[in-house]
Amino acid sequence: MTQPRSAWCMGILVILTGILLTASPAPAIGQQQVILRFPSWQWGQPGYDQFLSAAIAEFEKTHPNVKFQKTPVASASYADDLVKMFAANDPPEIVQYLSQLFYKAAAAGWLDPLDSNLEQTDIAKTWSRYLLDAGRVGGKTYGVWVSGYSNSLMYNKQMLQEAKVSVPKTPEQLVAAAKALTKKQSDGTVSQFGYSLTTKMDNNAYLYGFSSFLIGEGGGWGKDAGHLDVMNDANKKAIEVERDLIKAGVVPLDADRIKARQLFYQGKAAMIIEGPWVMTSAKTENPKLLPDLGVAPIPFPNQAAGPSNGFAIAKNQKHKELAWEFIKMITSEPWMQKYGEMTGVTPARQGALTQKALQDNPWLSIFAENEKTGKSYLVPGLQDVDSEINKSVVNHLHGVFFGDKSPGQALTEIKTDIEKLAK
Amino acid sequence: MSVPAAAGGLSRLRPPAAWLPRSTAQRRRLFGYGLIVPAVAFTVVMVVYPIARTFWMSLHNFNLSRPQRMYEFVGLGHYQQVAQDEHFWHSVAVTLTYSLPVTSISYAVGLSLALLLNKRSVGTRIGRTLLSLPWALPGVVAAFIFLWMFDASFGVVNYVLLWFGFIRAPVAWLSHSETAMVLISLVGIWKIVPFTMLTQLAGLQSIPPELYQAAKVDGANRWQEFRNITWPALGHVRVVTIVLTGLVTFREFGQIYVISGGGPDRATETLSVNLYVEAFQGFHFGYASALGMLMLLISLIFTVLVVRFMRSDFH
Repeated sequence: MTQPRSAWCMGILVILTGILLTASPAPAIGQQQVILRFPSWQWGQPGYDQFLSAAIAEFEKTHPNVKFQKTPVASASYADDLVKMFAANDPPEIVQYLSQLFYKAAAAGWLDPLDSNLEQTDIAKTWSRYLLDAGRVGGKTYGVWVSGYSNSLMYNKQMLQEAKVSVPKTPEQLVAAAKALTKKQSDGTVSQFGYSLTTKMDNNAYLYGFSSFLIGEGGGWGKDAGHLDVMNDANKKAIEVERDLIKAGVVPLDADRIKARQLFYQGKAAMIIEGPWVMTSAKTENPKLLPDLGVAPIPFPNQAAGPSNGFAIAKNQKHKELAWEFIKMITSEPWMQKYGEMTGVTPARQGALTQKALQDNPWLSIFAENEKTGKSYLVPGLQDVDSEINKSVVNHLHGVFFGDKSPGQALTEIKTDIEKLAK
Repeated sequence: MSVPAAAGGLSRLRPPAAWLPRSTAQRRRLFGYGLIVPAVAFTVVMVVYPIARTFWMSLHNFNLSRPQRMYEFVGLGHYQQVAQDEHFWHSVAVTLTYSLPVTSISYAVGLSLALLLNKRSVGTRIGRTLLSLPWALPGVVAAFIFLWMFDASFGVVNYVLLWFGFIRAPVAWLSHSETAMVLISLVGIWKIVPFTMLTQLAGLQSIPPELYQAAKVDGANRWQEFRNITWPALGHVRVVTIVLTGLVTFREFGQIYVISGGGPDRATETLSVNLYVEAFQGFHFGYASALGMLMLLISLIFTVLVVRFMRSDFH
């Protein structure tokens, strides 16, 4: 009987057919196209998407065999998703990073040093000092930051006028103004929030708003990993400001960062402290509101600023030269000028902010001014565990904002966690 | 069985190869094995290998952000770490707080709906279809629907509760431990009830109607019918439903993570969420693998205990 033999033959034929069908065809000789994968949280974001798409179009024009593959990734999970790619030894060809990713990737040895590449450019002479330093880890440069950020107080002029409230200049005035600007209905709902803030405190939360209060009060977690200073009065005061805002019912509850921004530029919140991208979003998503929006320095003794995003080259990838050519192109003066004009944020290259950028985005001058004196919340030596520090802060402060825990108790718990991370 | 020789075809008949089985029984057995090879291969690739690999990782220092130490053998070190980790025990407590009520309430509601729908009519057919829809909806989609319904500022649930006077101010469901747990439990129940309803309905429809006719003749009321006929007859279905529902709630991740992210302050951080955070945010794959193996062990123990405890129902 030949039945078993024919069954085996049929099985082997099926497997071979499957292998042949799934094997990708070899590219034709002379037409080897190079795909550069470019994941980013900025795809779809007003201003940033236009800039990056324009840069890609220009690069593809001058490099006909190169094609970019845009992959949108949510900003909340961007660092985690990219780390997975690095860990799988399959990093993208174009590495755009936030601070949460950069320091982790540099510490893990996943990035190529760029010092010899930078010698071919004028970046060392034209970049802001603090952004050049932010790209260095262990004495080598691993990333080129294309923009920094500073946080400013953005407010709805019409709402402040109606409530006869002036722009706050101190934390106490901020809380008082938020209370005066909040409109509560008879059923207990709020139709207008005095202040917009991230209040959803889960494993994805990033207390961006709180970091402004922290730095604004002159607080922070310490000078560096070896000199921690968590239990200081400035930190306590920063926690009290946010606690007072939440307990007064003047901020939206269960709001993540995206919702907090949306409420402001949709005209449902009177004030917010955030980066310039909120104004860019307002310009695109709700242009009618833009004339009503004003910008002022944050109402604290100190300004908050830091590196925003940049580009690096992964160690284990095949197209390093192309990646560097792309970075060189977008960090050149003409493209940094376009960056300021299209995104509405200050480019890293000094002097690249054009009159057109300032005319189209009049708030930029205030943000640029704040950035000069601003300080970052990142602790030198602990930047690669910043997301763990953030989680600890979120978890321990929850009890203060929504329970009866004292700021001192929360800071003691945060100090214990940061000390463990610093070891 | 010999093949009849065609004219001139005898020369084409070759004797079977030496390695092929000679007897029919052997050939049938081999053919049978051949038929199950795809299923076995699938099980090996999709079940056995991942479990073995996870166990291997749990014995090594598999930390993605420290690649230079990634293959360092640590033996049972991770398991010891888990046993001493207060976050692990907290997650166990949270998992039980979520899983036990959701399983029991889903079962009770599913059984009630099945009893209501155990009739042949157009209405019950429409009812069954509509009530099965939550099961068809992806968990993440359900999570986003509930997130919007329970939004602290603009959600319809707060609006209705305020309108009826049940609350005096909008509830921030995700800002308090108790309300966050209530919310994720509600979503869990909403998603699982169709499954428990359909399994109990299938069980109800397998009960011979003559039993109920005989009971009526004997003068039994509805409660007596339920207690003496329906409940015992559903025994085997009940065991299977509870085991499967318990396992589903035990390993639930997507809905919980989308809704509460394990917060606030780890109040809804079940074992699955804890594992995800350790693996994909902390990159401690070795430790997370140990957590995963422990979860597998707990699931096995749960299954054995439930089946043993409800053995009389099962048989």
